[in-house]
Amino acid sequence: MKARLQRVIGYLTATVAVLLGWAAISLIIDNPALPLPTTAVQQFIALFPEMLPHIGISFYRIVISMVLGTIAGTILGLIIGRSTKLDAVGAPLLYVLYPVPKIVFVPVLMVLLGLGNAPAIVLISTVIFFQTVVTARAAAKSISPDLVASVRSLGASKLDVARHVVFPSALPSIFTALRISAGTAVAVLFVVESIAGNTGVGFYIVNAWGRIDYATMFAGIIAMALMGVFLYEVINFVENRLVPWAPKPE
Amino acid sequence: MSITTKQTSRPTKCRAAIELHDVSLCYKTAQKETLAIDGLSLMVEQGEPIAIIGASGCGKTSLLNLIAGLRKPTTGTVSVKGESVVGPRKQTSLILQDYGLLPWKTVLDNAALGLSIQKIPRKTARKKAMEALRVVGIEDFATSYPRELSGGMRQRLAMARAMALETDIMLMDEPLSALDALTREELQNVLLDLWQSESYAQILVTHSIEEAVLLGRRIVLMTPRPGKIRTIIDNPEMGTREYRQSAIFHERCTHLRELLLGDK
Ligand SMILES: Nc1ncnc2c1ncn2[C@@H]1O[C@H](COP(=O)(O)OP(=O)(O)O)[C@@H](O)[C@H]1O
Ligand SMILES: [Mg+2]
Repeated sequence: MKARLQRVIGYLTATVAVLLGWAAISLIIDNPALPLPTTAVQQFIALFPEMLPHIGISFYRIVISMVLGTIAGTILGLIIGRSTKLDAVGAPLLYVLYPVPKIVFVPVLMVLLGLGNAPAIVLISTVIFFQTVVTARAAAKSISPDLVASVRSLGASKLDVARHVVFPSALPSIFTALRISAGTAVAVLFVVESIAGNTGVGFYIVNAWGRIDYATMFAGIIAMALMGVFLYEVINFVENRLVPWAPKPE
Repeated sequence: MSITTKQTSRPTKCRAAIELHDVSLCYKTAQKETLAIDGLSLMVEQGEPIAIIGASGCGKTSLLNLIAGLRKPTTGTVSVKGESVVGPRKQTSLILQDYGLLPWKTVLDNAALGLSIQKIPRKTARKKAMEALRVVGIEDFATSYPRELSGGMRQRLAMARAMALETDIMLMDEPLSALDALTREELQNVLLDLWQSESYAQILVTHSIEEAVLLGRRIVLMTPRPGKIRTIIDNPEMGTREYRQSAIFHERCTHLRELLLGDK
């Protein structure tokens, strides 16, 4: 309870600090491209009903992608991390592909998949997938052989070991990876939506920019920022539910 | 070199609990081959407690792994209760130095782990596990996680997990070495009490001379790698906590110490 209160206070303080900084910069540079936070927030509230469908679709894209990418990345990462043979093939492949900036494939995906949800979902899932697969593999590799031996001595099959040892032991690092990739996911979402299609908060922002309507553009930026914060908090919430045994990271 | 002692008569059992016959184990990795155990034979009776002592790397852990069915011998045969060991066996318990507790399971679920792997219904498993926690005296911590337990309590939990499985072979790999001196002595008494009430055959690997003499009816000294049996010391007077205070206990500890120092 106390921790939650501290968290809320933390968020409030940070928000105030950001708004003050924003206001200061806005006053100093005195350019319509950076309106005052008061203007932007007013616009955000006024346009919220209009933005809601865009927020909904962006949310749908990002949540589906994070779920798909995480599940696929976790399963594959744990499997290759536990199998010397698969790792011999999988690891080099991963480390060649991991640093490739996936965002450069936006044009290709648009040609292949059109302008709807597909390019966004494929691209974000891929980014999340690589993040989690690398993390899950490392987590699987770091499992103590003694722990596995102990559980095996109780008659555990490979599946039992996966369920009772490998998967739970990797969960905390998977959540850390998710938290880190939530930010990346929002960024990739923005890029895809701003290039492809006419839906989503990314499109909304770029569209307002095109009309030189900076107040509306900032309303969209606020929506996108709030989405990131919300995602982050959802991840924390799910983690607290699924990983009650781990000491809480601060 | 042997010490003369009064031989207490024991009823002879028909079948051995553990039988190792001319066992050797060679680890093969890409870089090299390591002969860890070389031609070792040992017979452990039903309900007999054995202590094993030997230098690091002489193959003690490997030996326990063989008996637990986690590894196959390169040559020779390993059998438990008259049957050749082909894989992990339900009633053989192996307790390693880190106790093998799962940090993500509560104390109760850790105690019930073996039962749940054996697909025993959850309710029955929990009841049996709770009973085992009571036997080792940590039932008040059933809903805690292992990280909230002291070292001694973790050790008790590992014992409870074995108890819940109605163990008849208990294999322990330096189980008390991470504990402070007082807790260690307390847990030695717990091990002694549990062995007496449950009467499983027990193999305890230890580096402590006193522990070996307190808990081993026979004390097996191993040679440095590749592990073989160097000597076996009979210690028939063991079995009570009071043994610790006796003259024979001290005499035997001194004897064992001399043998071990002779190695250096
Ligand atoms: N999984 C393994 N692969 C290769 N060599 C091993 C393995 N486990 C143990 N060894 C080697 O076998 C020897 C005996 O090891 P171990 O049984 O752990 O000895 P102890 O428990 O007496 O210290 C050591 O030289 C060790 O390096
Ligand atoms: Mg060892």
